[in-house]
Amino acid sequence: MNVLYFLVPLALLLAAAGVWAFIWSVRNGQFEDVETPAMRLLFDDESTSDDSNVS
Amino acid sequence: MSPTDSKTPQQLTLVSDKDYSCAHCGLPVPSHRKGTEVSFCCNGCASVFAILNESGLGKSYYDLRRSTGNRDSGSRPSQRANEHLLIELDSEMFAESHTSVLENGFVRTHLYLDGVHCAACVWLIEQLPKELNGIRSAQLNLPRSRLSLEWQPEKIQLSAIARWLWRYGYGVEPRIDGEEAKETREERKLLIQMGISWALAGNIMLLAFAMYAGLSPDSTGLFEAARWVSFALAIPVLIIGGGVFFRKAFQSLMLSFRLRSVQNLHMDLPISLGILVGFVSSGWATITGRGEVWFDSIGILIAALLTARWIQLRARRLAGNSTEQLLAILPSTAHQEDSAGGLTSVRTENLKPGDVVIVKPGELIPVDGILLSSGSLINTSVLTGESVPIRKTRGDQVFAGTTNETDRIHIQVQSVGVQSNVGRLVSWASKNVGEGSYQSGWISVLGSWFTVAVISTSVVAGLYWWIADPSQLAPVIVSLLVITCPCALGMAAPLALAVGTGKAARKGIFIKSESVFDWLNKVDVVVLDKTGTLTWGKMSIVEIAGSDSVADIEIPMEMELAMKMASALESDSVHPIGRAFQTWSEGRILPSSESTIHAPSKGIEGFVGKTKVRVGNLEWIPLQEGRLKEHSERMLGLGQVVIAVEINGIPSCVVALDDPLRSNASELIRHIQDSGKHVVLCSGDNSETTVRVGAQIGLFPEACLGNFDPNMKMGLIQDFISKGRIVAMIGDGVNDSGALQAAHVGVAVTEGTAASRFAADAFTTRSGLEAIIELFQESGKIIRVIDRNLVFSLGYNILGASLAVMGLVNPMFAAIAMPVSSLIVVSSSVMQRTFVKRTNS
Repeated sequence: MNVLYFLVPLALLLAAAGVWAFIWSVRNGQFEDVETPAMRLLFDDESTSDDSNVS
Repeated sequence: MSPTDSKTPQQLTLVSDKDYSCAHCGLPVPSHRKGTEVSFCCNGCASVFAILNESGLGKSYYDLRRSTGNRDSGSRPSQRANEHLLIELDSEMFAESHTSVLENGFVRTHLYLDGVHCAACVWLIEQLPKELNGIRSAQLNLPRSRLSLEWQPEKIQLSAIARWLWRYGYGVEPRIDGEEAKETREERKLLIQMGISWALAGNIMLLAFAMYAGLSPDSTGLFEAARWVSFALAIPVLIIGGGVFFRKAFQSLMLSFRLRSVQNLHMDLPISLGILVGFVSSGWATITGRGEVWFDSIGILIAALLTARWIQLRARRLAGNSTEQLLAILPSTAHQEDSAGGLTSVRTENLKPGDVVIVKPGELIPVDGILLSSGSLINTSVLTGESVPIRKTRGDQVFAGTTNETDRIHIQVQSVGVQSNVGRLVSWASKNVGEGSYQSGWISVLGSWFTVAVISTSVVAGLYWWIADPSQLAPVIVSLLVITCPCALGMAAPLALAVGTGKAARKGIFIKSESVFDWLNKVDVVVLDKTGTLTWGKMSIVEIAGSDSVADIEIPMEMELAMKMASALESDSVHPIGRAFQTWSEGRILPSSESTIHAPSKGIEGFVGKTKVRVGNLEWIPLQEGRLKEHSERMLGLGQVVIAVEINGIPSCVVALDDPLRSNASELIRHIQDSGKHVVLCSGDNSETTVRVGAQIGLFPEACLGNFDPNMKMGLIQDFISKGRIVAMIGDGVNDSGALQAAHVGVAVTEGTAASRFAADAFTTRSGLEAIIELFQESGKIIRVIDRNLVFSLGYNILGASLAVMGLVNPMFAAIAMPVSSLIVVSSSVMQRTFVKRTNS
C-alpha cells in the first residue's frame, strides 16, 4: 500500500495540471461562447478568421 | 388585389394562406405579395434575398438555415439604416471609447447586432473579411449577439461595415463589451473560483471514498495521511471558494449590526457558519486524531453554491448591460455655420450655452435650446411618446434627442450632453439600475429568520446537551449545523431563477434582475404606456374610402391609382404621414412624380405625368357634401387623422390614419385583469385619444389617463407605491424610462430599438405583446417552482434539525443527507417546465 504515498501526490499533480489548463482557457476566453464554434463546423469553406483569439 | 378599406394594418399585412411563407424570414406573406415561385412578406426580405443571391452567398445561407433551424423567431430585416448612428460610428469619440488598438494598424471593435439567430447568420456575418477590404477577422458570438471585428481604419470606415450588415437586415448597436468590460472579468473570476473548487472538492471526495469504504486507523498510517491531505486540500477551497460567502456574510452581519435589524442578515451567513463550523471541527478532528471529518461535504457545498451563482451571473449578463444608451440617443456632433457660410462639425461636448447650432431636416437635435428660426415640425416621440410631430416656432424650447422633421433650423444652445433633459433622465435611470438586492421579498426575509432560528436552536440544544451529556455536545452541534446548512435553501431560489432567466432569454425576453419574477407575481397595479407599447407607435393607413360604396372587398381601380399617385408624391417624405403612405405602397409599383412642393402644415402637391395631384388635410382640400364628406366625418369621429387625395382638382378619396393597436393588446389586458390586477393606461397623448384607445381594449375611461408627461408618469407610479401598491410599468422609449425605473418592475417593449432597455428590469426583443403575456404567465410558474423547492428544503431542515437536536443523527449521516437534499432541489430547478411554449411566427 505504500505505493499510495507516491500515487496520490501524482494524482494531485495531474489535477493541478488540469486546473492550470482550466484557468488558462478561461483567461483566454474559451468559455465566452460555447455555442457558435459548434456551428462554424458546418461551414464548408475554410475558416475566415483565426479561431485562437476569441475575445 | 388590394386590402379592404375597413381592415387594420395588422390584417392588411398578415392576410395569408398557410402555404405562403416568406422565402427569407418564414413569416406569413400578405395576399397582394404572393408570387408564383417565391414570396416575400415585405420589401426588406425580398431585397435581402436578392442581394444574397446576387453576391453568390444565397445558396450556402439558405442551406445552412434549412439544416440548422432558428434559435428564436427572427425579426423582419429593417432596410433603413439609422443614419445618425452611422455618423456616430465614424466619429472620433466613438473610436476613443470603443476600439482597442492592435498591431499593424488594426483595431478591434465590438458591435452588438440585432436579428442574429441561426448558424446561417453566423456564416454570413463571418464572410465580412472576404466581402470587404480592410477587415482581418470577424467573429460572431451568437448567444450574446456580439460581433468582434478586427479592422484597419485606414482602409475602411466602420459605417461602411455597419451599412453592409444593415443591408442583410442586421441592426448595429455599439457596446463596450469584451475583455475590457468589468462584467467579463467578474464572470471569469467566478468561473475560475468555481473550477478550482470543483477540482479540489473532487479530489477530497476521492479520499473520502476510501474512508467511507472502510479505511480505518491502522499501522500503515494511511488513514491519518488521507485526513491530512483532505485537510490540506480543503484550505484553498475555503479561501478561494468560501471567501465569496464569507465576505457577503460579514457585510450583512455588519449591516444588520449597524441598523439593529435581523432583516438584513443574508443567507450567506448560515452558509458561512456551516462551512466554518464544519471546517474547524474537521480540522480539530484531524489534528487530535479523534472525531469525524467532512471536508468532502464542505468542498462540494462550496463548489455547488458557486456553480449556482455563476449560472445566475451568466444568465444576467446575456441580458446585456446598456449603459451607453446616451450615444444611441444623442448625436455627438453638431453643425455650426463658419465665417464663409458653410457648415462645420463640432463636438457637442465642446458647445457652450449661447452657441448657435444648425440642424438640417431629418436630423436629430443635439442640444437643448431655443429655436431661432421661424419654425419647423419637431418629432418629440422620444421624449413624450406623442407620435404626431409638433410645430415649434421662434422662441420655443426644443430638446436634445427629438427629430427636426421639415425645415433647416438654428438653435441657441442652453444645455448639452448629460446636462440636457434626456441626458439627465438617462443618467438618473442608469445610476439606479443594479442597486438593491437580487433576492426579493420573502426569500431573503426567510433567509434572515432561518439564520436566527438555526443559531438559537444550536445554542438551546448546546445548553441542553452540556447539562445532559457533555460528551455528545460536539457531535450534536456539528450535525445540527451541517444538516441545516441551508444549501438547499440557498440554492432553491437562485437556481430556479437563473434557469428561468436563461430560458426566457432564448425566447427573446431578457431579465436583468431576477426579482422581476417575484414582483410580477405580486403586482396589483399594471401601468401601461400607450404609444409604442400598446400601439405600433407610428401612423398607418387604416382606412381608404372613396365616393363609391365602402363595402367592396377591393379598392376600385381608380382609387388604387389615386393612392399610388399620392404615394409617389409622398415617397421621399420624412413626415409620419408620408411614411404611412410609404408603408402602404410597399410592394406596389409606383409612377414617378415631378415638381413636388411641400406646403407646410397643409400637405404636398405635384405632378404624375400630366396629372396634378394634391395630398393634404381637409382645410387645404375642402370636400363637398357627399359620401366623401360623410366618410371623413365618421373617421374624424373615431379620432383618426384624415387626409384627402385630390386628382386634377377633384377629391378622389379620403384616407384615415391612426396609430393602430398591436394585435395582442386586448389579450394582454384581459390576461392581466383576469389575474386580479388593476390596469392603468397612461399616455402623453391627449385624454380623448387615450380614452378612445382604452375603450377599444376594454378599459373604463377612469383607467385611461391622458396628457401625462414623463415626470407625471413617474409621479403616478410613486403615488401608487406610497399607497402600498406593488406596481409594474410596461413601456417603451426614453420617455418611459423614469417610470420604468420607479416601478417595482419595469418591462420594456423594445423590438431591438433599445431606447429604454437601460431603465427596465426586463425587456423583450420579440415583436409584439405576446412576450409580455408569456412573461406574466411564466413568472407565476417559476415562483411555484421556487415555492416547491423552499417548502421541501424547509421541511427537510426542520426534520433534520429535530433529529440532530435529539442526538439521533451522527455527523456522517448529516454530511450525506445534506448533498442529497441539494441534489433534489437542483434537479427540480433545472427541470422546470417554463418558457416552453413554441413561438408562433
